[in-house]
Amino acid sequence: MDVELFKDGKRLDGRDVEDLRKPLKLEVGVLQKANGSAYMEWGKNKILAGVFGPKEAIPKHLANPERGVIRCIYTMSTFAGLEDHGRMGPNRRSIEISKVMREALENVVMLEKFPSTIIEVYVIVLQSEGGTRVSSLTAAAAALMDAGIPMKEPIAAVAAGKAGGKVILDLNKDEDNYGEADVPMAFTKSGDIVLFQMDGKLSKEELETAIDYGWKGTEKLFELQRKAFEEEYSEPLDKKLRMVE
Amino acid sequence: MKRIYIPGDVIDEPVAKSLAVREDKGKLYATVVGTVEGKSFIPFELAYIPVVGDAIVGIVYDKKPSVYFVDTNSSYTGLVIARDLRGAELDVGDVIFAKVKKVEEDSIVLGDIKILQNGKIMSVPSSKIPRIIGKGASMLNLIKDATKTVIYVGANGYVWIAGKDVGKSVKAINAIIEKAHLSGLTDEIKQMLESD
Amino acid sequence: MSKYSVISNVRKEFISSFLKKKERVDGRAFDEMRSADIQVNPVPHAEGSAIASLGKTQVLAGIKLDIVEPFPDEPTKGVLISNAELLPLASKYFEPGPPNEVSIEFARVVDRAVRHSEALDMEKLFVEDEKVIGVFMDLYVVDYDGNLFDAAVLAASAALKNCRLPKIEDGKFVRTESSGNLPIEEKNLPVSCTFSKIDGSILLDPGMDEEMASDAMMTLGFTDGHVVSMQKRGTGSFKKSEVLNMVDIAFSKHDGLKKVLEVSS
Repeated sequence: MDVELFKDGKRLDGRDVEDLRKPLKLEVGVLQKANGSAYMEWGKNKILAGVFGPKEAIPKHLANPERGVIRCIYTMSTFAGLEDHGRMGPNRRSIEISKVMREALENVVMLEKFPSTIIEVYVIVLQSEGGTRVSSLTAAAAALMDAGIPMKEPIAAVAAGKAGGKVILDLNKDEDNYGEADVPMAFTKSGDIVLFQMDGKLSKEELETAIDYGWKGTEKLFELQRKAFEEEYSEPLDKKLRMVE
Repeated sequence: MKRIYIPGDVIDEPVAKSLAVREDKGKLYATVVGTVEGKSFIPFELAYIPVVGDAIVGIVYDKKPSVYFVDTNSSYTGLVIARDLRGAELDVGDVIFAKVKKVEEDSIVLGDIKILQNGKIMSVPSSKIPRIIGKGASMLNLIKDATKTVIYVGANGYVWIAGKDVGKSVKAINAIIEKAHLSGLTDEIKQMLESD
Repeated sequence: MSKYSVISNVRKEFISSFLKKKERVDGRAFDEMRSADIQVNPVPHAEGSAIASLGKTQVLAGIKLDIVEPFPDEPTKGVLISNAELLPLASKYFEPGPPNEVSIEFARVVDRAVRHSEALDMEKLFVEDEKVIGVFMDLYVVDYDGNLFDAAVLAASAALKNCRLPKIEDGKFVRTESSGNLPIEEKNLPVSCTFSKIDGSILLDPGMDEEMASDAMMTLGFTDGHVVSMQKRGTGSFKKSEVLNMVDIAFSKHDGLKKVLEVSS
């Protein structure tokens, strides 16, 4: 299907190729009962992440005497999308996303300090607009930091891709649906790629540009994570999820 | 405002290495969110890992002929060896104050057991414990005196309170948790305890 | 005995010691609710949504409307289907996995309060032959500090009250265009009161520790002057006089709870 994705050199939502969607907001410490939590609004995505642990790994066969293990579960609310009512519970897509998110987090969480324990990372996409896995991972990393779980460094994630013939950063739903390629990726702060997926069609040069855009995007997200903690600790802790201004 | 460090930030001050501070190629890095005070890195939140000598509060949840199992509010199971009690006995449900004698892979051996009776147990983030105790136990004594309570603070984040105004001391401890990172904490808690 | 039940026994002894003095651990009166608050339309992709808090408990309700086939025995009536997920990020006591007896009971009790309040006139949800509006009301527990039910009924009522109705064209929704709100009888919107019985004392709106120490619990869904749903939970029991007394207390809370709902729009 041919859909115009650019108008007067700008994307349909008014962005340049390297702009992130707005609003872009991250708040930590929003939940009372989780050990760490984060709430993120990114475009129309609304993501809630909660972390528990390290705690005793039950059942025992999950325990690794050498290092801790991470359980990561990504889910989506039944009313997250613009379409019909969705189904509750895991599906093939959410199981795959949970796996690649977990493997990304295993790069930075200092699991060797917590043998025989489990660290639980739960993410729910309350509202979705494309790019939910990268916003989920960015929020999950913030929730882990909020829980005081030692990490070598932060990670953050963003998608780049190609739409309307151009390489672009942070695809919205239409650019994802009607574009030529989608490349979700996550970086550590020192620049290592810890999540990388791609589907579509790109030349080697386009792929390189996409990765460069992705890195520039994540640098902004690292600043967002830092700002979230500076805000959290500049006033009394107030653990409540506020989704409406 | 004090500078806030997040994981991966280089710490240029000569702070001591710990779970919250790692060294790589001669440089120090924060592993958790926190700030630097003098020569120490102070984490705002930190998962509890027991160290020999820690005093903790726990709850006995199971007993076998030779060993008691204790909930320690952490991933570590507390063990009290029956013969260490020299004839005394514990019951399931007893709250105890104890010293960590030995740390194993997923359990800790406890000794110097004291049974605590008729109190409230509350759970607080273990990183806030130093603030609840205060310099030279100043904060803790302030709360105890003002509320006429007995308080045992476990390094593991369990706090046990008994006595006259338990509700008020719970309130004071919650206020410390919410404001531990802000200045003027002691005065604010003092005011709160003196009111009504 | 499991580790958790031992820990909850320790907490129960402490709660009991207060109840002997006719006090609650957090200083509330026996018939006093925690403060309630509602945020409306937090999830605009849903036709209706609201997040309600009761003390530190928070529940999100979202409503999606779909055009569905009616049930064969009620061919002119719309359909209400409710589900709930106790998100594992809300509490260390919630495990991930398929719906269990606790989450199913929770969803069904909230569903009954909404259904029998008749706030939603099912006859008005008829579209055309073989087509009616399905109201899919899903509840997500976000933070669990006791008494999910009353927070959930508030969230459900607020979501219903603010639920848009997409335009219908050729028997299908055009979700980008609205044709007003879902038809609701506002005065019938239900609220609920949950009570906990501990050592013979009856406490309104139990907090987490009180809930875990409960011998039995009772949830009453009600409108102005009518009880519309009840559910007794837990292994303990109630006397008839206790049940009737709970109805009195619940009714006395009606206007206050409705005020919380009114502010939410």
